Amino acid sequence: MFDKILIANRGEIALRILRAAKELGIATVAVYSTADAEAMHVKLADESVCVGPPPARDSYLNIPALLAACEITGAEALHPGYGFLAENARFAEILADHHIVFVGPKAEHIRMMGDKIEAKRTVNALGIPCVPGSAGAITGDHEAAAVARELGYPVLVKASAGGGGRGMKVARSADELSVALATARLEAKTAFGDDSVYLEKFLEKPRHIEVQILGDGRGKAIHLGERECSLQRRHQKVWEESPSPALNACQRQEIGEICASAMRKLGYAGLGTIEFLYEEGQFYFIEMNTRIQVEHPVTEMVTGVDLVNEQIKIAAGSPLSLTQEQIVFYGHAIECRVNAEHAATFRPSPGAIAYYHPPGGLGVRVDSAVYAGYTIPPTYDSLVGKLIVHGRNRNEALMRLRRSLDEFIIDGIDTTIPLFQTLVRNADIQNGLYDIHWLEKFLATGGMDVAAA
Amino acid sequence: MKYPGPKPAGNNAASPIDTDLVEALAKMVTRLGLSEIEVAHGDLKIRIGRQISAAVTQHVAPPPSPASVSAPQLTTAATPDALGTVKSPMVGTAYLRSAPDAAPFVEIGSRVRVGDKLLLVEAMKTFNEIVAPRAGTVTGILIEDGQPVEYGQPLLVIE
Repeated sequence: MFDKILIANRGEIALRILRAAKELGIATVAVYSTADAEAMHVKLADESVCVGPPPARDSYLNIPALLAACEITGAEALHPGYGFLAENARFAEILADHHIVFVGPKAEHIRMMGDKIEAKRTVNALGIPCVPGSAGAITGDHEAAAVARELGYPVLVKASAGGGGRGMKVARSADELSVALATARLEAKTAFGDDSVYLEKFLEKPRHIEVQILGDGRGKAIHLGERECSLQRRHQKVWEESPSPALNACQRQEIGEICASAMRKLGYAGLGTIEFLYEEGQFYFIEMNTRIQVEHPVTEMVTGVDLVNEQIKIAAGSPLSLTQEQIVFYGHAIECRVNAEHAATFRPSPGAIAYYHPPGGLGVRVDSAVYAGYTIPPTYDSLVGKLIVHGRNRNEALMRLRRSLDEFIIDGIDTTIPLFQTLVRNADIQNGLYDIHWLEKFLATGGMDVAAA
Repeated sequence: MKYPGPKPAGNNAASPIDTDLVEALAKMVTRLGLSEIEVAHGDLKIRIGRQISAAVTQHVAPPPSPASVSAPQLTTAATPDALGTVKSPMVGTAYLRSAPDAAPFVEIGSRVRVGDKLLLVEAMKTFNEIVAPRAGTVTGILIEDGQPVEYGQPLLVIE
C-alpha cells in the first residue's frame, strides 16, 4: 500500500479522495492554486503545496508543477480525481516515467476510450452493443446517404473528435442529410480542428444508463450495477439514481455481465463507467469514462462498496477484494448535484457562503467541501456539493430527498436546491417517467417559472 | 506550505531511541549548516546525516549537486510584492548557492541590480535561475539551502 498519495484535484472530489486515503492510513498531499488556499481538503491534508495561480492551466493542469510537488513531498502515487488530467493518457505515461503510480487505468486504455470511433470499434468487438452506424468516418455524401438509408431516418451526424454532447447534427430525412453533414463538418473543423464525422441512428427518447465496472488489470473484472443519469441540462447531469427505474433485475444482471466480461478481455485496471443510451429495451454504447465519476456515491450507497478505496487498492497492486457474488444491491439511492447557480436562470453565483447547514439523518449523505464562511471562487466549476439519499425503495428515497432538501440551508449564494425541490414534487419524476430530453423540455415549458418569479 | 508536524514523544514508547534528541540533532545540523553530526551516550551512538532534500521525506532520492548538472538553466523573474518580497514562481527545491562548497549567490546586505542571480529552484533535474526583479539590498533570506518551496512562497526580501 502507498505511504503517501498526492491529490491532483480540488473541491468535493479532492476531499473524497483525502477521506479514502486517510482511512487506508496513507499520508496525504494536497496541491492547490492560490484561489483554493482555504479549501477544506487543504486544511485536512498532512501536507500541502501551492502549485500556481488560479487558472487551471497554470495549476491543476500544470504537469511540471504537479511532478515537482510529487518530487519534493515524496508522494509515490497521484490521484487525478475527475476532469483536469484524469483522462490524459500522456500524463499517466509521464507519471510512470517518473515512477509515480497514477491511480487510474493503463494509459493505453485511456487513449483507446478517448477516441470515440476507436472506442466504439473496440467495445463492439468485445460484445458490447453499439448504436448502429457507419463503420468509421464518412468519406462522402454518397456513402452517407447509403448508410443513412440502411440505418433508417432519423440519423445523427457526429464529430469523431467531439464528445460530451458537442458536434452533433440531426438529419430527419434524406433531404436534410447533406446540409447536416456540411454543417457538422464545418462546426467540427472550427471547434476541434478535425472535420471527420460518422453517422449513427438517432434515438428519439432514450434514457442515459451507465454501468460501473472495476477491474484488477490482470483479467478479472466485476460490475457494480447501473446508474440512471437521464436528467441533464446542456449535457450536464444534475440528478442521478441507482438502480435505474427502467430496468429489472434480469436486465441489470445481463448488461452488467456484458460489461464486466468485456473489461476482463481488455485486462482493464481500476474504475470505469460504460455509458449507454437505452431505448425500448435495447442498450446502445455511447462512450466509456476511464476515471471515477461525479455520481459514484449512488453506487456506493446501494452496494456498500467504497469505490475510491477499491480504486486505490487496485492501483497499489492488490487483487479485487470482492467477487461478483459479493456485490449485493440494497435499496435505492438518488443524488442531486447542488450548483452555485440560480435555480431557474442558471446564472452562476460564486461568492461567500454566509450560512451553511447540511441535512442529516439516516440515509442522508452530503459530499461537499464547503463550509460557513467559505468563498466559492469564480474560476472553476460551480459544484457546491452533492446531496445523496438512500432508502429501502425508491419511494422512501424520494421522501427522504424531499425532507433533506427542505433542511439544506446555503445562504449567501444562489443554489439549484429549489430546482430539486420542484423536481422531487413532480409526477413524472416520481413515476420514473423521463428520458434525456425531459429536463430541458420541462425548463423550456416554464417548469421553474414560479421559482424565477 | 504544510509539512507534517513532529510526532508526539509517546509514539516510540517501546523504542530505546530518544526521539526528542534525534529531532534536536536534526535541527542543529540544519541550523549550523553541517552535513553530519554524531553523538555518543554510553554505548548508544546516534549519527544524523543531512541530505540535500526535505528532512521530512524518506522517498526522495537526493538530486545531483548543482555543479555537476549540464541541464539547461532557465531564468525566471519572480515578482516582488510592494514590500520587496521575492516569491517563488514555481514548485521545487531552492538552492542558495551553485554548489555545496560555493559561496551563496547573495547574502544579507548584498546589493543587487535588476537581473542579478539570487538563487536556483530545481525541479526534476532542471535548474531555474531566480533573478532580482528590482535593484536594492537583500534584507532578508526567508528559506534555507535545499528547502522545498511552493508557488508563491516568499524567498527573499529586497529593499
